[in-house]
Amino acid sequence: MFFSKLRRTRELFVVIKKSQVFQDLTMLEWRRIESIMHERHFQNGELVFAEGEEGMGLYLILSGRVQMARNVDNVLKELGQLKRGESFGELTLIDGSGRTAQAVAMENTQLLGFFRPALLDLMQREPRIAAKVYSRLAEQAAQRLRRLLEDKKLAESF
Amino acid sequence: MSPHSNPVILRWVFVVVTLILFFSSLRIAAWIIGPLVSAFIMYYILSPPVDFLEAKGLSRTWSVVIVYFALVIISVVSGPFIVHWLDPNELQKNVPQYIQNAGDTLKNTLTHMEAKFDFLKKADLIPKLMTFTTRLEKDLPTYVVKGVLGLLGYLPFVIIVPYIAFYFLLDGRGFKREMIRGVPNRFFEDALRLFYKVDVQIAQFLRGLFIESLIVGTLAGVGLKLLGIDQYILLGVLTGLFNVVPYVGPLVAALFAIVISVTDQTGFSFFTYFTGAPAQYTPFYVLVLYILVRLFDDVVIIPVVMGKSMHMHPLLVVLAIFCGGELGGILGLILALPSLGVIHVTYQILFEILSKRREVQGTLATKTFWT
Repeated sequence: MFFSKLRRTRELFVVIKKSQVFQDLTMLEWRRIESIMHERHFQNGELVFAEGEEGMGLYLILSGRVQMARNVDNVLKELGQLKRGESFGELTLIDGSGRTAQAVAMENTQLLGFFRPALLDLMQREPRIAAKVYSRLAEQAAQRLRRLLEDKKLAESF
Repeated sequence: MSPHSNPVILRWVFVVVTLILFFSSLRIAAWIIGPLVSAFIMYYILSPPVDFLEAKGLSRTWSVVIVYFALVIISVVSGPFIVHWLDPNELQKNVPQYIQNAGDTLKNTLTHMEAKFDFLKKADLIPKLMTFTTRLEKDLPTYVVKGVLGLLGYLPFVIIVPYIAFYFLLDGRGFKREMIRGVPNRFFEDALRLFYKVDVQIAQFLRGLFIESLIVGTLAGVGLKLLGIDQYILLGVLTGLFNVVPYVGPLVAALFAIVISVTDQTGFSFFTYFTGAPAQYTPFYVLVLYILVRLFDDVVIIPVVMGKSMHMHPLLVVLAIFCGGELGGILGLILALPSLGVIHVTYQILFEILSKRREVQGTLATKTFWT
């Protein structure tokens, strides 16, 4: 029982090391925050969340594939497909805003949910770990902003 | 939220029905629900120090163990002092005296009033009062034995409640996670939100109630000490404990204090010494003290400690006291406000989430539909 739990912790650790948000965590730190993560299972074709929905946080893909799509003039436009080790929903985690895209599981998918209450709890309890997570979240947000600005510049130059 | 999407009456009905169900189940299965609820309350009161230690870098287990160790030390150290201050032998001697003196005072007042108002004589109050007090004095030993035996019945509580609370503190997060694991995916995030908000509100409410009672009890105790009442510790503790029962509790506590102060004027009273006020009016000063504490509680402590988030309608509070007292006895009375708080908040947030405005997704394809 204990060993199987430890093995699971290790398995999950391999995946979170690949993710952008949690890559800085050590095994020790991961073990301290593992209990606030939610493992969720989604079946092929199941909606993870819909666009515009009030959300609670981010999901990290443990296994399977997730398609991100957006409603553009009533036509669903695919933004891309995410695989093991990638995460989505970071913006909602930061500011608690609504979902900006929809996420659908493309096969049987195992997700790890990390939600705002857990982040707030982490800030109280483990400020060092919270700082690591937050700096990576900020980095990701900055990258996206930069990309958006470049896209816009590119669009204006045409 | 728009006003019409907040069905107050419906929510009240839900709250009262749930209260009735809760207290009925408490009546049937007090042996299991009592400890669980008490452990739940203990968990919320003890988790801030545990979280604090954990934030300092200790493991969860060590944090809980240290907090428990501190609790044990405090009770071991303060135990003898409390017993010494309470002085059970003295109390045993004094209680009949308290009753007799209170009866005498009441009798004197009544005689005085009968002399003034004729119609009171017809009511035959004095003989009734005398039979009541003599019977109370005679039956007192039986009551005491019953009371002590009843308290002994709660002894397993003293062991089992900290035991359950220990595991709540240790695996609290794991428990919470397990509790919502079974929620289907489509409701999961809403359930999580409900769970989180309720958790925060309950924590704030229970901790607020605890701190409020602590301050009120201490204030009353210190005040009584200054007035020279010997049983100030016992009365302070009772005042703090009764404070949890709204409206009725403070009244009963004040009544106890006044009855005791009629007899107990042996201690040194700082108040009469420094102000030169006549000592025979001490019961009146006690009454004033309790009124002042009550005012201070309502005007300063409750707004600061509890915040506005837990505002419950007075009518709802009275209904909760009725349900608790009728169905759960003394335990029900004490648990009335905490359980109302928990149930009230749960429904409030549940209704808030359920009556959330639903946004239209995308635009309507009217054109294709009509042509």
